[in-house]
Amino acid sequence: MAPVIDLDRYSGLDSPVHRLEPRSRLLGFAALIASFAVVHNPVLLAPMLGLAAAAVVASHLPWEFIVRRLRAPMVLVLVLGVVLVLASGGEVLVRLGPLAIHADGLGQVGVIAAKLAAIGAVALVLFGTAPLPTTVVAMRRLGLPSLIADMIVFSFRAFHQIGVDLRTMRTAAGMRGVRWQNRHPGAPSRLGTLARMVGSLFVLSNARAEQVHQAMLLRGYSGDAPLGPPRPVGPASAAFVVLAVAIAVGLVVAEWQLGVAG
Amino acid sequence: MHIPDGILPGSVCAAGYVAAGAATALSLAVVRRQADPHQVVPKASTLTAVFFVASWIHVPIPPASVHLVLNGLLGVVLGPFAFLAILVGLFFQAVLFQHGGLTTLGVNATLMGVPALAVGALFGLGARLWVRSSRWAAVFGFAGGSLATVLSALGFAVVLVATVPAALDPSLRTTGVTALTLAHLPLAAVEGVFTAMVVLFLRKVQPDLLHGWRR
Repeated sequence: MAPVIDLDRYSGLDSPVHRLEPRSRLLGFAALIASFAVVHNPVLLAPMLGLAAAAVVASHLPWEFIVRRLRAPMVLVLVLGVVLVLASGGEVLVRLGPLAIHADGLGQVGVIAAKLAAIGAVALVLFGTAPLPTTVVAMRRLGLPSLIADMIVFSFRAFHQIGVDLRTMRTAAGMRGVRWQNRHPGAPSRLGTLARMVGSLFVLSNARAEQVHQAMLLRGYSGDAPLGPPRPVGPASAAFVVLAVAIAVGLVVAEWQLGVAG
Repeated sequence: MHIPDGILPGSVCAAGYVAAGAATALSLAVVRRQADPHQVVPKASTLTAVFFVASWIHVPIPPASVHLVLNGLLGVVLGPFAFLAILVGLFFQAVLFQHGGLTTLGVNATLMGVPALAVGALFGLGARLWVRSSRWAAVFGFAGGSLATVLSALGFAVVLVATVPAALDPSLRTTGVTALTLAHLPLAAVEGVFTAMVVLFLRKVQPDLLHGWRR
């Protein structure tokens, strides 16, 4: 039921991306991701995908890891793609009985799939090359409110235990005769069982949160935990930010120019 | 109910971030008016994690099964923290599991979080005025759970159909909005019943977990 959280399983590798200072890595890749969101012209898709591939290669992350993680959103895009290909107007490429495949729709599906692949791959490089708390500290240094940063870190720590609690509750309910498969009758009663399970998770987790908070207070937590001195930004990290921002601006300008020319 | 990366134009993604930024600022302002907001952070974070984990649960609705959105329930339990919790939950879903997206995080958070804030305000008001009886608790729980789902589904349908397919036949857009919203009505009913059940459970076991219940 609860998927395995293994995003940072490759955070211990040694690569040029892993060695970047965390704030620089965040700024540079965020600029690239933002510019990919703006790209729409088919001419720019190949450079965009090339940049994403270069980021993956430079990070030494396995391609199998990237492809496996992008599979689920790609399926969603394919479903949307079927609607677009069949329901768009414009030139008809092929007729299959009552169905017509439109060129405009096919082009749009290609753009969407390419953008999803490029943005997803760069996001995986950004978050897969350092432990999540390291990236959150970098986000906080760049202005993320401490309250939200704390919520991210505390929630991340709580996932595993809550997943275990949920699995235990489901097993206990199963041993008392609750059947989860759809072929068994009694769906409404299962909804009630699930509601009580989620209610119990709230109560149990809240009690645990109170204990954690008391322990944190004893250790001196006051809400604004000091971050310590930041890691110095070396020449490689500075060069990466400049290069990434320049590429991002270049992509946005090229998109605008091609839009004006078109 | 998550829009992945690549589907929306850059301008809509940017507008989503502006709207989410405004809602975040509003939530933080309300939360900071509390005596010590950091005292609530461990609880809000843990409940965010519960929301995230509970959204993995597939509810069997024969012959298929659906997974719950739970934004109404989060509004009922967390009140003004609900938007922040949804923002954090969606961030995790985008980063850890590639459900939703980073560029669409603002849009997704706005479309799921603003209805949660509205439901939280409604439930908080109801709790102060009428909702102490189990009947009214169930009514407000059902209304909160289903209303948040309907509002989110309507928002997603409008954003998707209005912005994605530039070449789509205009009459199909209207049909698309209607079809997407109608398709979510059974889910809204299930969310309403589920939220009402959880509210009744919490009312009996630990009522101070419900937003507005504390005196």
